[in-house]
Amino acid sequence: MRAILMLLCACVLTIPALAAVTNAYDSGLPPVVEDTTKAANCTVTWLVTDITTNDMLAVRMQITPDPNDRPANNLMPCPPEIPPRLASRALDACVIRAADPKNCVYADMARGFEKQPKADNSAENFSRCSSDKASDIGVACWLSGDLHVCGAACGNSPAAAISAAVSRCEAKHLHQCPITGSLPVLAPP
Amino acid sequence: MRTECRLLLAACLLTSAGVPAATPALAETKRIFALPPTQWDNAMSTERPARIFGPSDLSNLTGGIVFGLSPAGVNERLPTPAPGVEWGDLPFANEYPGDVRYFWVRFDAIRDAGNAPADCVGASSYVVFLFRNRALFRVSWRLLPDKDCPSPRAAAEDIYGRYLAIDRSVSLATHYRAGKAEAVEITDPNADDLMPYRWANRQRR
Repeated sequence: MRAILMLLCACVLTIPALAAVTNAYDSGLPPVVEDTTKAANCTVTWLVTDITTNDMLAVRMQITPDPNDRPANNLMPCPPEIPPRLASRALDACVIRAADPKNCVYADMARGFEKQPKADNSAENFSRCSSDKASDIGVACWLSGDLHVCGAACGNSPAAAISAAVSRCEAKHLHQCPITGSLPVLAPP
Repeated sequence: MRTECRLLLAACLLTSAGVPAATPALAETKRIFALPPTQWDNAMSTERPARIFGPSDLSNLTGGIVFGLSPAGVNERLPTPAPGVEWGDLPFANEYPGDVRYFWVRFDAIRDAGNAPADCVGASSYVVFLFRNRALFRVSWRLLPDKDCPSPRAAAEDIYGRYLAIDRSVSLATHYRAGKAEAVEITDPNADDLMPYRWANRQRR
Protein backbone atom coordinates (compact mmCIF):
# COMPACT_ATOMS: atom_id res chain seq x y z
CA MET A 1 0.00 0.00 0.00
CA ARG A 2 2.84 2.32 0.96
CA ALA A 3 4.63 1.52 -2.31
CA ILE A 4 1.51 2.28 -4.31
CA LEU A 5 1.11 5.64 -2.56
CA MET A 6 4.75 6.60 -3.30
CA LEU A 7 4.30 5.64 -6.97
CA LEU A 8 1.17 7.77 -7.17
CA CYS A 9 2.99 10.77 -5.66
CA ALA A 10 5.84 10.36 -8.16
CA CYS A 11 3.36 10.34 -11.05
CA VAL A 12 1.61 13.49 -9.80
CA LEU A 13 4.94 15.30 -9.54
CA THR A 14 6.07 14.20 -13.01
CA ILE A 15 2.92 15.04 -14.99
CA PRO A 16 3.30 18.89 -14.91
CA ALA A 17 6.89 18.61 -16.12
CA LEU A 18 5.84 16.36 -18.98
CA ALA A 19 3.01 18.74 -19.82
CA ALA A 20 5.45 21.65 -20.04
CA VAL A 21 7.60 19.77 -22.53
CA THR A 22 4.53 18.78 -24.54
CA ASN A 23 3.27 22.38 -24.56
CA ALA A 24 6.61 23.62 -25.87
CA TYR A 25 6.28 21.33 -28.88
CA ASP A 26 2.59 22.22 -29.29
CA SER A 27 3.48 25.91 -29.71
CA GLY A 28 5.65 24.97 -32.71
CA LEU A 29 8.92 25.83 -30.99
CA PRO A 30 11.41 23.19 -29.92
CA PRO A 31 12.48 23.46 -26.27
CA VAL A 32 15.81 25.02 -27.17
CA VAL A 33 17.23 28.14 -25.57
CA GLU A 34 18.82 30.43 -28.13
CA ASP A 35 22.58 30.71 -27.75
CA THR A 36 23.09 34.45 -27.75
CA THR A 37 26.81 34.12 -27.14
CA LYS A 38 27.55 32.39 -30.45
CA ALA A 39 30.94 33.50 -31.70
CA ALA A 40 30.97 35.49 -34.93
CA ASN A 41 32.32 33.64 -37.93
CA CYS A 42 35.51 34.90 -39.52
CA THR A 43 34.88 37.80 -41.87
CA VAL A 44 37.50 39.17 -44.23
CA THR A 45 36.68 42.61 -45.58
CA TRP A 46 38.35 44.20 -48.60
CA LEU A 47 38.13 47.78 -49.81
CA VAL A 48 38.10 48.18 -53.58
CA THR A 49 37.49 51.32 -55.60
CA ASP A 50 36.46 52.54 -59.02
CA ILE A 51 38.96 55.24 -60.01
CA THR A 52 36.53 57.01 -62.36
CA THR A 53 33.95 57.71 -59.64
CA ASN A 54 36.10 57.24 -56.48
CA ASP A 55 33.31 54.99 -55.22
CA MET A 56 34.76 52.74 -52.53
CA LEU A 57 33.13 49.37 -51.93
CA ALA A 58 33.52 47.20 -48.85
CA VAL A 59 33.39 43.53 -49.80
CA ARG A 60 32.80 41.24 -46.84
CA MET A 61 33.43 37.50 -47.06
CA GLN A 62 32.40 35.23 -44.20
CA ILE A 63 34.26 31.95 -43.91
CA THR A 64 32.66 28.87 -42.41
CA PRO A 65 34.74 27.67 -39.46
CA ASP A 66 36.40 24.31 -39.26
CA PRO A 67 34.64 22.01 -36.73
CA ASN A 68 37.82 22.02 -34.65
CA ASP A 69 38.10 25.81 -34.53
CA ARG A 70 37.55 27.40 -31.13
CA PRO A 71 36.56 31.04 -30.63
CA ALA A 72 38.76 33.60 -28.97
CA ASN A 73 37.17 36.77 -27.59
CA ASN A 74 33.88 35.58 -29.07
CA LEU A 75 35.36 35.56 -32.60
CA MET A 76 36.10 32.50 -34.69
CA PRO A 77 39.65 32.45 -36.07
CA CYS A 78 40.34 33.35 -39.70
CA PRO A 79 42.46 31.16 -41.97
CA PRO A 80 46.12 32.16 -41.85
CA GLU A 81 46.27 32.27 -45.65
CA ILE A 82 43.63 33.85 -47.87
CA PRO A 83 43.64 32.35 -51.38
CA PRO A 84 44.12 34.82 -54.25
CA ARG A 85 40.74 33.81 -55.73
CA LEU A 86 38.98 35.48 -52.81
CA ALA A 87 40.87 38.70 -53.40
CA SER A 88 40.03 38.43 -57.07
CA ARG A 89 36.36 37.94 -56.23
CA ALA A 90 36.51 41.03 -54.06
CA LEU A 91 37.78 43.07 -56.99
CA ASP A 92 35.02 41.56 -59.14
CA ALA A 93 32.45 43.40 -57.02
CA CYS A 94 33.81 46.57 -58.61
CA VAL A 95 34.52 45.08 -62.04
CA ILE A 96 30.93 43.99 -62.70
CA ARG A 97 29.78 47.56 -62.03
CA ALA A 98 32.53 49.45 -63.83
CA ALA A 99 32.49 50.72 -67.40
CA ASP A 100 35.99 49.29 -67.82
CA PRO A 101 37.43 46.53 -65.57
CA LYS A 102 40.73 48.41 -65.59
CA ASN A 103 39.07 51.13 -63.52
CA CYS A 104 38.93 48.85 -60.47
CA VAL A 105 41.78 48.74 -57.97
CA TYR A 106 42.36 47.82 -54.33
CA ALA A 107 42.15 50.70 -51.87
CA ASP A 108 45.76 50.63 -50.74
CA MET A 109 47.66 52.33 -53.52
CA ALA A 110 51.38 52.48 -54.26
CA ARG A 111 53.44 55.64 -54.34
CA GLY A 112 53.02 57.28 -57.74
CA PHE A 113 49.63 55.62 -58.25
CA GLU A 114 48.26 58.89 -59.60
CA LYS A 115 50.64 58.60 -62.55
CA GLN A 116 49.84 54.96 -63.26
CA PRO A 117 46.41 54.25 -61.81
CA LYS A 118 46.00 50.49 -62.27
CA ALA A 119 45.33 47.43 -60.10
CA ASP A 120 48.97 46.32 -60.28
CA ASN A 121 49.86 49.49 -58.40
CA SER A 122 47.55 48.65 -55.51
CA ALA A 123 48.12 46.14 -52.70
CA GLU A 124 45.47 43.51 -52.10
CA ASN A 125 46.88 42.34 -48.75
CA PHE A 126 46.93 45.84 -47.25
CA SER A 127 43.39 46.46 -48.48
CA ARG A 128 41.85 43.76 -46.31
CA CYS A 129 41.26 43.20 -42.62
CA SER A 130 40.27 39.99 -40.81
CA SER A 131 37.75 40.01 -37.99
CA ASP A 132 39.98 37.99 -35.66
CA LYS A 133 42.67 40.67 -35.83
CA ALA A 134 40.78 43.97 -36.19
CA SER A 135 37.31 45.35 -35.66
CA ASP A 136 37.50 48.13 -38.27
CA ILE A 137 38.99 48.86 -41.65
CA GLY A 138 40.02 52.41 -42.46
CA VAL A 139 41.04 54.39 -45.49
CA ALA A 140 42.72 57.77 -45.93
CA CYS A 141 43.16 59.57 -49.23
CA TRP A 142 44.47 62.70 -50.86
CA LEU A 143 43.07 64.31 -53.95
CA SER A 144 45.18 64.27 -57.11
CA GLY A 145 43.07 66.16 -59.64
CA ASP A 146 39.79 64.25 -59.47
CA LEU A 147 41.39 61.03 -58.24
CA HIS A 148 41.37 59.85 -54.64
CA VAL A 149 44.80 58.33 -53.92
CA CYS A 150 44.52 56.23 -50.78
CA GLY A 151 46.09 54.05 -48.17
CA ALA A 152 44.21 51.48 -46.10
CA ALA A 153 44.78 49.92 -42.68
CA CYS A 154 43.13 47.92 -39.89
CA GLY A 155 42.40 48.93 -36.30
CA ASN A 156 40.45 48.01 -33.23
CA SER A 157 38.20 51.05 -33.36
CA PRO A 158 37.07 53.36 -36.18
CA ALA A 159 39.49 56.05 -34.94
CA ALA A 160 42.39 53.59 -34.73
CA ALA A 161 41.72 52.25 -38.24
CA ILE A 162 41.55 55.77 -39.69
CA SER A 163 44.64 56.88 -37.79
CA ALA A 164 46.60 53.87 -39.10
CA ALA A 165 45.35 54.54 -42.63
CA VAL A 166 46.34 58.22 -42.41
CA SER A 167 49.83 57.26 -41.22
CA ARG A 168 50.20 54.72 -44.00
CA CYS A 169 48.86 57.06 -46.67
CA GLU A 170 51.01 60.01 -45.60
CA ALA A 171 54.16 57.95 -45.21
CA LYS A 172 53.69 56.31 -48.58
CA HIS A 173 52.42 59.20 -50.65
CA LEU A 174 54.18 62.09 -48.87
CA HIS A 175 50.94 64.04 -48.88
CA GLN A 176 48.46 64.98 -46.24
CA CYS A 177 45.59 62.48 -46.45
CA PRO A 178 42.54 64.34 -45.10
CA ILE A 179 39.81 62.32 -46.84
CA THR A 180 39.07 59.49 -44.44
CA GLY A 181 36.52 56.79 -43.73
CA SER A 182 36.08 53.52 -41.89
CA LEU A 183 33.72 50.58 -41.60
CA PRO A 184 33.36 47.63 -39.21
CA VAL A 185 34.97 44.45 -40.52
CA LEU A 186 31.97 42.39 -39.42
CA ALA A 187 28.68 42.86 -41.22
CA PRO A 188 25.84 44.06 -39.02
CA PRO A 189 23.76 41.13 -37.72
CA MET B 1 82.56 71.90 -40.64
CA ARG B 2 81.61 71.75 -44.32
CA THR B 3 80.62 68.09 -43.96
CA GLU B 4 78.47 68.90 -40.96
CA CYS B 5 76.73 71.66 -42.94
CA ARG B 6 76.07 69.24 -45.77
CA LEU B 7 74.66 66.67 -43.36
CA LEU B 8 72.44 69.33 -41.80
CA LEU B 9 71.23 70.42 -45.25
CA ALA B 10 70.53 66.82 -46.26
CA ALA B 11 68.58 66.27 -43.05
CA CYS B 12 66.55 69.42 -43.74
CA LEU B 13 65.81 68.27 -47.29
CA LEU B 14 64.73 64.81 -46.12
CA THR B 15 62.47 66.33 -43.51
CA SER B 16 60.89 68.74 -45.94
CA ALA B 17 60.30 65.87 -48.37
CA GLY B 18 57.96 64.38 -45.76
CA VAL B 19 54.31 65.28 -45.27
CA PRO B 20 53.84 69.01 -45.85
CA ALA B 21 52.44 70.42 -42.65
CA ALA B 22 52.26 74.14 -43.38
CA THR B 23 48.61 74.33 -44.42
CA PRO B 24 46.41 71.54 -43.12
CA ALA B 25 44.16 70.15 -45.84
CA LEU B 26 40.41 70.26 -45.32
CA ALA B 27 39.16 67.08 -43.65
CA GLU B 28 36.47 65.21 -45.54
CA THR B 29 34.62 61.99 -44.85
CA LYS B 30 34.93 59.31 -47.47
CA ARG B 31 31.81 57.27 -47.96
CA ILE B 32 32.31 53.52 -48.06
CA PHE B 33 29.54 51.46 -49.65
CA ALA B 34 28.97 48.12 -47.93
CA LEU B 35 27.87 45.22 -50.11
CA PRO B 36 25.89 42.26 -48.74
CA PRO B 37 28.39 39.68 -47.43
CA THR B 38 29.08 36.37 -49.12
CA GLN B 39 29.48 33.08 -47.29
CA TRP B 40 32.39 30.78 -48.21
CA ASP B 41 32.81 27.19 -47.19
CA ASN B 42 35.70 26.23 -44.93
CA ALA B 43 37.89 25.23 -47.88
CA MET B 44 37.17 28.64 -49.46
CA SER B 45 36.22 26.99 -52.75
CA THR B 46 32.53 27.87 -53.09
CA GLU B 47 30.49 30.91 -52.13
CA ARG B 48 26.88 31.94 -51.82
CA PRO B 49 25.10 35.06 -50.58
CA ALA B 50 25.17 35.11 -46.77
CA ARG B 51 21.60 36.39 -46.76
CA ILE B 52 18.82 35.50 -49.16
CA PHE B 53 17.35 38.45 -51.07
CA GLY B 54 14.23 38.45 -53.21
CA PRO B 55 12.17 40.74 -55.43
CA SER B 56 10.37 42.08 -52.35
CA ASP B 57 13.65 43.65 -51.16
CA LEU B 58 13.78 45.56 -54.45
CA SER B 59 10.09 46.36 -54.34
CA ASN B 60 10.50 47.88 -50.87
CA LEU B 61 12.96 50.40 -52.27
CA THR B 62 11.23 51.18 -55.56
CA GLY B 63 7.68 51.53 -54.32
CA GLY B 64 6.53 48.28 -55.89
CA ILE B 65 8.46 48.36 -59.16
CA VAL B 66 10.28 45.11 -59.94
CA PHE B 67 12.05 43.70 -62.99
CA GLY B 68 9.81 41.94 -65.48
CA LEU B 69 6.90 44.36 -65.15
CA SER B 70 5.30 45.59 -68.37
CA PRO B 71 5.41 49.32 -69.24
CA ALA B 72 1.79 49.63 -68.11
CA GLY B 73 2.62 47.76 -64.90
CA VAL B 74 5.46 50.15 -64.08
CA ASN B 75 3.34 53.17 -64.98
CA GLU B 76 0.48 52.20 -62.71
CA ARG B 77 2.89 51.94 -59.76
CA LEU B 78 4.12 55.53 -60.20
CA PRO B 79 2.69 58.22 -57.91
CA THR B 80 1.16 59.97 -60.92
CA PRO B 81 0.67 57.48 -63.77
CA ALA B 82 0.85 58.95 -67.27
CA PRO B 83 -2.03 58.15 -69.66
CA GLY B 84 -1.46 55.63 -72.45
CA VAL B 85 1.87 54.04 -71.57
CA GLU B 86 1.82 50.89 -73.73
CA TRP B 87 4.66 48.89 -75.29
CA GLY B 88 3.61 49.70 -78.85
CA ASP B 89 3.74 53.44 -78.22
CA LEU B 90 7.13 53.59 -76.56
CA PRO B 91 10.17 55.11 -78.33
CA PHE B 92 13.18 52.92 -79.11
CA ALA B 93 16.32 53.18 -76.98
CA ASN B 94 18.74 53.23 -79.88
CA GLU B 95 21.88 52.93 -77.80
CA TYR B 96 20.94 49.30 -77.07
CA PRO B 97 21.02 46.35 -79.49
CA GLY B 98 17.68 44.81 -80.45
CA ASP B 99 14.24 46.04 -79.55
CA VAL B 100 14.68 48.02 -76.36
CA ARG B 101 12.10 50.70 -75.51
CA TYR B 102 11.70 53.22 -72.74
CA PHE B 103 9.65 55.88 -71.08
CA TRP B 104 10.80 58.48 -68.61
CA VAL B 105 9.43 60.65 -65.83
CA ARG B 106 10.80 63.74 -64.16
CA PHE B 107 12.76 62.99 -61.02
CA ASP B 108 10.54 65.37 -59.06
CA ALA B 109 7.46 63.40 -60.12
CA ILE B 110 8.63 60.32 -58.23
CA ARG B 111 10.65 62.08 -55.57
CA ASP B 112 8.03 61.58 -52.90
CA ALA B 113 7.52 57.92 -53.72
CA GLY B 114 9.41 55.95 -51.15
CA ASN B 115 13.05 56.72 -50.53
CA ALA B 116 14.02 59.89 -52.36
CA PRO B 117 17.44 61.34 -51.48
CA ALA B 118 17.55 64.45 -49.31
CA ASP B 119 20.41 65.94 -51.33
CA CYS B 120 19.87 68.29 -54.26
CA VAL B 121 19.48 67.41 -57.92
CA GLY B 122 19.04 69.73 -60.89
CA ALA B 123 15.45 70.50 -61.88
CA SER B 124 15.77 68.67 -65.22
CA SER B 125 16.84 65.38 -63.65
CA TYR B 126 14.76 62.39 -64.70
CA VAL B 127 14.30 58.63 -64.38
CA VAL B 128 14.17 56.25 -67.34
CA PHE B 129 12.49 52.83 -67.36
CA LEU B 130 13.91 50.49 -70.00
CA PHE B 131 12.15 47.42 -71.41
CA ARG B 132 13.07 44.43 -73.55
CA ASN B 133 10.49 41.87 -74.62
CA ARG B 134 7.91 44.11 -72.92
CA ALA B 135 9.59 43.55 -69.56
CA LEU B 136 11.42 46.06 -67.36
CA PHE B 137 15.15 45.29 -67.17
CA ARG B 138 16.68 48.60 -66.05
CA VAL B 139 15.86 51.75 -64.12
CA SER B 140 18.21 54.67 -64.78
CA TRP B 141 18.36 57.79 -62.62
CA ARG B 142 19.92 60.67 -64.57
CA LEU B 143 20.81 63.45 -62.22
CA LEU B 144 21.73 66.71 -63.89
CA PRO B 145 23.35 69.76 -62.33
CA ASP B 146 21.98 73.29 -62.60
CA LYS B 147 22.61 76.67 -60.95
CA ASP B 148 20.74 75.66 -57.81
CA CYS B 149 22.48 72.30 -57.61
CA PRO B 150 25.98 72.45 -59.12
CA SER B 151 26.68 68.83 -58.15
CA PRO B 152 24.09 66.09 -57.79
CA ARG B 153 26.82 63.69 -56.66
CA ALA B 154 25.62 63.33 -53.07
CA ALA B 155 22.12 62.44 -54.26
CA ALA B 156 23.58 59.91 -56.72
CA GLU B 157 25.65 58.32 -53.95
CA ASP B 158 22.59 58.15 -51.75
CA ILE B 159 20.57 56.28 -54.38
CA TYR B 160 23.54 54.06 -55.27
CA GLY B 161 24.15 53.15 -51.61
CA ARG B 162 20.57 52.06 -51.10
CA TYR B 163 20.54 49.70 -54.07
CA LEU B 164 23.99 48.30 -53.29
CA ALA B 165 22.43 46.86 -50.13
CA ILE B 166 20.57 44.35 -52.31
CA ASP B 167 22.46 41.29 -53.48
CA ARG B 168 23.50 41.30 -57.14
CA SER B 169 21.49 38.13 -57.74
CA VAL B 170 18.37 40.33 -57.48
CA SER B 171 19.53 43.71 -58.77
CA LEU B 172 22.88 45.01 -59.95
CA ALA B 173 23.51 48.66 -59.10
CA THR B 174 25.96 50.80 -61.06
CA HIS B 175 27.07 54.42 -60.78
CA TYR B 176 28.94 56.46 -63.35
CA ARG B 177 29.42 59.97 -64.62
CA ALA B 178 28.22 61.24 -67.96
CA GLY B 179 29.74 64.67 -68.42
CA LYS B 180 28.74 66.66 -65.37
CA ALA B 181 25.69 64.49 -64.84
CA GLU B 182 25.55 61.47 -62.55
CA ALA B 183 23.88 58.22 -63.55
CA VAL B 184 22.75 55.49 -61.18
CA GLU B 185 21.25 52.36 -62.67
CA ILE B 186 19.80 49.12 -61.42
CA THR B 187 19.72 46.26 -63.88
CA ASP B 188 18.02 42.88 -63.89
CA PRO B 189 20.83 40.30 -63.52
CA ASN B 190 18.99 38.18 -66.11
CA ALA B 191 19.72 40.90 -68.67
CA ASP B 192 23.47 40.89 -68.10
CA ASP B 193 24.11 40.99 -71.86
CA LEU B 194 22.79 44.56 -71.73
CA MET B 195 24.93 45.49 -68.74
CA PRO B 196 27.70 47.22 -70.72
CA TYR B 197 25.32 49.62 -72.46
CA ARG B 198 25.28 52.98 -70.77
CA TRP B 199 23.80 56.38 -71.11
CA ALA B 200 25.81 58.70 -73.31
CA ASN B 201 24.89 62.16 -72.09
CA ARG B 202 24.87 64.50 -75.05
CA GLN B 203 24.22 67.48 -72.83
CA ARG B 204 27.82 67.91 -71.64
CA ARG B 205 27.49 71.11 -69.66
